[in-house]
Amino acid sequence: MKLKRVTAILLATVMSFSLLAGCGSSKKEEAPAKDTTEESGDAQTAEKEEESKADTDAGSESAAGGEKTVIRVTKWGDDKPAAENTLVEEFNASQDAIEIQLDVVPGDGYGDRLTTSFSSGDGYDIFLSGEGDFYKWVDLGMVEPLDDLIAADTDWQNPMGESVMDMGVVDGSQRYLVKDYNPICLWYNKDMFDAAGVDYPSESWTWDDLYEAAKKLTTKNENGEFETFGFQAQSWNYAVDTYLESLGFSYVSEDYSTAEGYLNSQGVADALDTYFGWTEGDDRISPNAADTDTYGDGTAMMINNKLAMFITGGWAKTGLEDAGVNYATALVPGNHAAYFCASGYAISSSCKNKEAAWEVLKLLTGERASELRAQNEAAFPTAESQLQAVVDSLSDDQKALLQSLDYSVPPIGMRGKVGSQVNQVLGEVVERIVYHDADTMTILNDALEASKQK
Amino acid sequence: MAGKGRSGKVQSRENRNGYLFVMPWILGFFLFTLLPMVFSAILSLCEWDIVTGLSTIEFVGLENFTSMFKDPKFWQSLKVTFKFCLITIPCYQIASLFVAFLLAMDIKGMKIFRVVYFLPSIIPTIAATMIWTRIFAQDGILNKSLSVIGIKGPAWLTDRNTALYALMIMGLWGVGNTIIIYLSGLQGVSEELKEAARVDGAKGWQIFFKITVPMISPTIFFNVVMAVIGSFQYFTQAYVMTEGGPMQSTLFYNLYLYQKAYKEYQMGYASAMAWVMFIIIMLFTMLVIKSSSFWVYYQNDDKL
Amino acid sequence: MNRSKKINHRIASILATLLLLGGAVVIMIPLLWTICMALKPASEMYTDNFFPKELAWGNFYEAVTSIDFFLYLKNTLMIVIPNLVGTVVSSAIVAYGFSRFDFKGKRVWFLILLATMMLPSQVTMIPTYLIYRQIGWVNTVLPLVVPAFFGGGAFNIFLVRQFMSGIPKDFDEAARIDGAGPFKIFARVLVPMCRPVMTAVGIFTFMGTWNDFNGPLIYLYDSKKYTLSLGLAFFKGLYTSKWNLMMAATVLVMLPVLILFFIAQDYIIDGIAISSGTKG
Repeated sequence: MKLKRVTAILLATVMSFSLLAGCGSSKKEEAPAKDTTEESGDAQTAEKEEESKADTDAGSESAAGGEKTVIRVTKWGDDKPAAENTLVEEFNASQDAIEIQLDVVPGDGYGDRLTTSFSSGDGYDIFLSGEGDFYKWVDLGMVEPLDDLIAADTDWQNPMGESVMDMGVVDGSQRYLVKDYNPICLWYNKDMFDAAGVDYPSESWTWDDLYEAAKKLTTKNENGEFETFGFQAQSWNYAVDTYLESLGFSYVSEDYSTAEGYLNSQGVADALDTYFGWTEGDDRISPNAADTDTYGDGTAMMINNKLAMFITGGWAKTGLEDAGVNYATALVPGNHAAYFCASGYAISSSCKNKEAAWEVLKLLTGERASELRAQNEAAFPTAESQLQAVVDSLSDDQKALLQSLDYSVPPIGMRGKVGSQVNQVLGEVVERIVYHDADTMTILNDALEASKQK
Repeated sequence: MAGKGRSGKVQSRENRNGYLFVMPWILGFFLFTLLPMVFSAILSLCEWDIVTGLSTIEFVGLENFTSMFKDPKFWQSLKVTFKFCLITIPCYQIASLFVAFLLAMDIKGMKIFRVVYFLPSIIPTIAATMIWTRIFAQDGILNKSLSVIGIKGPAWLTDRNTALYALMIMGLWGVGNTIIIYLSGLQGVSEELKEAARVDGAKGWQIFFKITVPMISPTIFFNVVMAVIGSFQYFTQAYVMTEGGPMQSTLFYNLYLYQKAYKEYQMGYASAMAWVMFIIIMLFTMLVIKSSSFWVYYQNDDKL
Repeated sequence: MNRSKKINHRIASILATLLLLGGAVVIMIPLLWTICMALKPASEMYTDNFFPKELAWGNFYEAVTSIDFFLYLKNTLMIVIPNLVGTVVSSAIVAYGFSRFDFKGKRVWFLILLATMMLPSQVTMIPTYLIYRQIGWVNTVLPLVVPAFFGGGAFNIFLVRQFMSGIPKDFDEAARIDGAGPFKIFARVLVPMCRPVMTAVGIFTFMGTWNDFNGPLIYLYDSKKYTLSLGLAFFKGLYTSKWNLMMAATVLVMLPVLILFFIAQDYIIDGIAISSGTKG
């Protein structure tokens, strides 16, 4: 009986505490009567949209001002201030209708932040995504189609070229506006080529030529330990896939409808065997995973004159230049087809004020944004007008970066549902091939089956 | 157990005072802990993509559990975790007790040693990861030292046969906390008792096992229980260093659970996994608690 | 006999010192490496030389200026200090209840206490987030601070409880006879005796909160509220990482913990006087 009383006291305390806490927060939310329960997600009706401002994710102080529409934006970032910081500052100061709240998250935690904030069904209004996830978010129903907003906005002067705009199209509908993009190509260390007396990569190079050159560029010391490597055959899917594409292979059919007979074709299997064969044995020309643990990634190895060639994107530029490396870029051998990387902003489907969000989206990917990005970021800006400035700033040694744009193909993750499914199993494919878990053809067949389950 | 053979008045006072003092925790439990636990229990019977919001939770019954038991990765992660626990729980405890024993000695310069042995546990994970990756590299410090004594070490983290052991070795650097707890426990061991035994002609190791160990057995008990709870949930280092690879050789249970929840957005499946783990840990903890009556000695009648 | 004992003691000391010294060298390598990397220019990150060829002291300056280091430091302290106070005090109070009173249902409550640690936090993280969001605590430090005042976590309660159970109840009795109530016994008798373990709890709490990445990541949206652990992660970019700057910042971040521990260890060791004189 005593225990009952204790329990009663306990419950009373708990309840009063949560009430207290509730009051504490209600001063922010203005509407304590709107006792949203955990099922609030399905109550996203029109009437709620009217009070949208008060109901954005906790932490927004939107209701306090009453007039400004708050648009919450998130992106990943690093230690440098991004163009967005300036944009948002300028924008918020320039008008009274919309207030942008920008949350820059360290890359390591970005995924988790996004997941938790969306778990309530009421996350960020605008978020940044890498091209590899473009399809995934759409498939999960998290991304608002932009077509209607674009059609309604007759005044909008699209600063982007068609090909850049198309990077944000998923299943025939515009879902993202790309903020910047980065073609990948072949990077090489000129000093190492000079020292070994090997001709620089040329436009007519085939992968066989690359292999021959890499062999000459791979050296060992008197103890038989590797001193330099000719080319890095990375396990990074984009490098692997670029190799395949430039040989004319693809994991999926041209209309993106099936992977059957593509992913598990003999050609792909043989090519993968050749590629990963370069990282094996004492006569290898490429560092393997154990080597990169010792010497660092491709950029670090090239800085220390340990690596002559690798495939990467424009982000390598800063590191190489800071270290004073005498580098140059070249088109990928073969048919020059290469993946590009892109990142784009999307309006989330839970966003309650789409028109305002659209204004912000235009800002984040507009002319001024490109101008800011062109000044201090490695990727290419999306506005055509700004691209020229960047192009002009490229030295001859960097020109291939731009040229490879003409040959670029969308990464596998952007090629429809099938491509996205395949993309999710590629990591395992590479790992199993590298560790000789089974015959490559078997691995690819397994992967095909696994991709259908995704 | 409580209140046997006591007058009602004494018992009611014990109840009142007891609940008064544990009230902060009980309150906290109801406010912050209970609901999430119940929620995850419910989720284990549901399907939920997380990012699509609460409205998309769907009841699926035991489906998560049945598909889990058919999932080879689930079994692999269980295997990795059990292997890790079986080896590290005893090894780490013995090592930390030994070091704590040395650190408790009254020797000049001991203060510096204590700091040194505690140091590794304060390096932030993100920095430690980078360093350890290089220590374990093919030409890293570890293999260079091994080659001095004529052993050719493997590429620890990229070899599927050694990656798990590399993580175990690395874990030794993180036992600073356990050492401190043992150190504080060792402070309670009576010098007089040891002295008396010494007078009776007991040898050093006899004193250690007959007097020191029983006297710090409540501390050992604590550390073992916490090791069971902690080791089964080993996550961070595997997450940042190996991501479960190579070839799932370090796919720890909680890592797989995390991947399911936050990479594949299958919160229902992950919750089901979590509750299976809960039961496993509960079983092993109960085992330790039940066995404790044979080897843990309390000053007061404080048995659990 | 006395002499042989002395010799024995000396041999033991020398042996222990040698062992500890050997261990210390091994144990220091990762730390030493962190410091060396903090002093290297970016280009030397992956070169063979362990020690920097030239000391790049500028890394420290760059590390604290390229992120809002001092703002993050302030934010971190605003979370760490209340956590420290809350955890140390409330865990001792709760542990006292569990260790000294035979209340009804104690065993069950204690098992529940242990059970709260057994469910992987990965699955409770989101429900917990949703609760805090519901009461409007998201984007404030409250979710990271308030729970500390409600017992400060099962680990700490359990730890202090174990330690208290090692203290004979005779002390309580003696105080009770002198007319002390349960509060007075707690404050005057047990707290002083529990100083070593409470210090340990303090160190663990400090370290845990100081290095916590996930909590601030999920609850603190506004980058002006970020903590040092989030700040450190900014050096790790998506494609390129500034390891030397990160290491420099890491060294700076570790310093306070180091100093704190150096001071606090006296309190851990200090316990001898009280408990060993009385035990057994």
